[in-house]
Amino acid sequence: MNTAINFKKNRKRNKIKENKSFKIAKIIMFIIFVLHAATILSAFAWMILSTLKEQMEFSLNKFGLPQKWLFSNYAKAFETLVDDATDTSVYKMIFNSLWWALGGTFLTISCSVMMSYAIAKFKFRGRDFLYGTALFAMMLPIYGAMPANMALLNDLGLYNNPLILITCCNGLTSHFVMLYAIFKSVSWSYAEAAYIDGANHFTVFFKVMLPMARTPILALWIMMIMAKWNDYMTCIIYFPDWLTLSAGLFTYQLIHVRDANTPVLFAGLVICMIPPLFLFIALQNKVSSLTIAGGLKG
Amino acid sequence: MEQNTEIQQKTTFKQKLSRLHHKIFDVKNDTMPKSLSKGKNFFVFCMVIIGILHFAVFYVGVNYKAIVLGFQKEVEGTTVFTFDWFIAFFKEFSYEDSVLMTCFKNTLKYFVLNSFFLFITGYLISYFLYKKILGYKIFRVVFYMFGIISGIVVVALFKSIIAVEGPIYTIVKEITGTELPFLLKDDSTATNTIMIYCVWTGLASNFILLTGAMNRIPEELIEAAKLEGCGWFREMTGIVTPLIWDTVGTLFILSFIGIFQASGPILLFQTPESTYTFSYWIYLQVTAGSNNYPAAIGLFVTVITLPIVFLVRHLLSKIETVEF
Repeated sequence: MNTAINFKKNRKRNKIKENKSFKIAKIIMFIIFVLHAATILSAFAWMILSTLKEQMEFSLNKFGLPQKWLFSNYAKAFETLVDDATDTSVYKMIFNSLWWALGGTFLTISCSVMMSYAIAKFKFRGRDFLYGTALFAMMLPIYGAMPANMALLNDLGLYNNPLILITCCNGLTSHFVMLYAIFKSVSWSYAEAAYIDGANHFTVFFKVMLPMARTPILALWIMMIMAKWNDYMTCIIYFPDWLTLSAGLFTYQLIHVRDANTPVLFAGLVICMIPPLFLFIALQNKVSSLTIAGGLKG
Repeated sequence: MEQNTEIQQKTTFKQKLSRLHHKIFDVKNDTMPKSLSKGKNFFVFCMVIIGILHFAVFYVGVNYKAIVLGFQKEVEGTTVFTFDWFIAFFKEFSYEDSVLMTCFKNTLKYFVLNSFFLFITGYLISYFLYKKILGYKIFRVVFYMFGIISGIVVVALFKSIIAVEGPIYTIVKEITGTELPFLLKDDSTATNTIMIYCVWTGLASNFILLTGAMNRIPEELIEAAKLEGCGWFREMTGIVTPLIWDTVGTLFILSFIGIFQASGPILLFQTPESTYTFSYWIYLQVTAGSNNYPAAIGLFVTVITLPIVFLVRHLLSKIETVEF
């Protein structure tokens, strides 16, 4: 009897101790979170405030509020942030970014969806080989592919060509593995019902299975559009004459190291970060659904 | 009678095999009407052909070309196959002060930073976000900002903050009276400055995937552990980690796959040679028009990485995954 009481007492004491230690850990982590978030938010706030100053004012008064709120710097950014070497204006850069982000995402996700659906839901010769190949390609570390890629694109006439977009028709990417898991988890009984009603394979795919997997697919779309919008390396290396906004801002900074108007440059950077930020804020619930509905199994 | 039993046994075996096959490959589509069987082949062909063609050209073709390039050399107008690039690499690598040696050291520094330090901080942050720390919804959005905003923007911002006469410089000068050096141009501080940038932007790395996996853990399991008097640290290490081991293990293997690609944004920072990494060095070589030497080094590094990846995978697979 005494032992049982002692055991209960010990458990209660341990629980109180643990609650205390968890509270302390939570407070410490909260302070770290606040400090980290503060550095991020204050840095961006400083940048946004700086976009509203004149160059001279920016040099003399780095931290204060702007004397005149020069929203015209944003209009100036559209006029001045031009890449002279390729004669690319900001409007052209935005168009190129949209071409690359939307076009590239459409091709990659479409090819991955088609490939993963066929492999996840149909039995055919070579199915296991294709699935194994996708996993193998993910696992195999390939270095030095850049020189070969460059040489191959040159041979195919795709280097510095907007048609380079066809390199995005990649069906066996990491997206394939995620989409494969998503289609595996979608019930086949709806497809069976559609077949009985006389639907063919294409109808079942477009009208039954795709709508059922639409949320995680949309999440992949959003993530990929953001990644491609922000991608500057691919543009600089493989299509340098068709500058995207990210790549254009980078080259502008490189060329105008000494004579750049910092507030105007910052305004350009803010313009560049608005679309992905807006997309994320508007659709963040869909993005978080990706890790819950499919993605990596936890 | 015996024949019948044999047939029965054969059928049972066939059924078993079929059931096993269905279990492994989760085949559920054999119930489709027979009239659609012909159309099935055409449909599957349409679905996979673009992906296969792409893979053949841009994966198999590129890697084949990478292997060929690594052994090719132009000698007096003719292309010969040689080990010269590999020999040149070993020679250059043997010098303590060679660029490649610097690249190797820096790459390893970034690898350790990303795969160990930032992995642990990312995991800790994910755990406390999963535990719904006060203001966790706001922190989620703020921490994810580096995943949303282009590196161009963040690096430009960071450069302005640490620049001479920038906010950090001014604050340090006012508090201590000392003037900071030009952090990104000074050989002794450049790499460390970029690493600080990596810590700033990567402190909460992978948290979207990790919290996603943690959120899938059944609440009853955590409750049961709490009733047994399990503390938060034990819960995190002894319960949550094994339950999401698939995700943790995958992320860990992926970081090892990219061991020699580990780098900071050197291109954006435009820092001196002392900050170069393998991936940046390869980029510089390719943009300068040299393809064979970087291809040979890429091949060598791939061969080195393969056993490391398989060893890590083997070691991680020994850790038992808990199903729930």
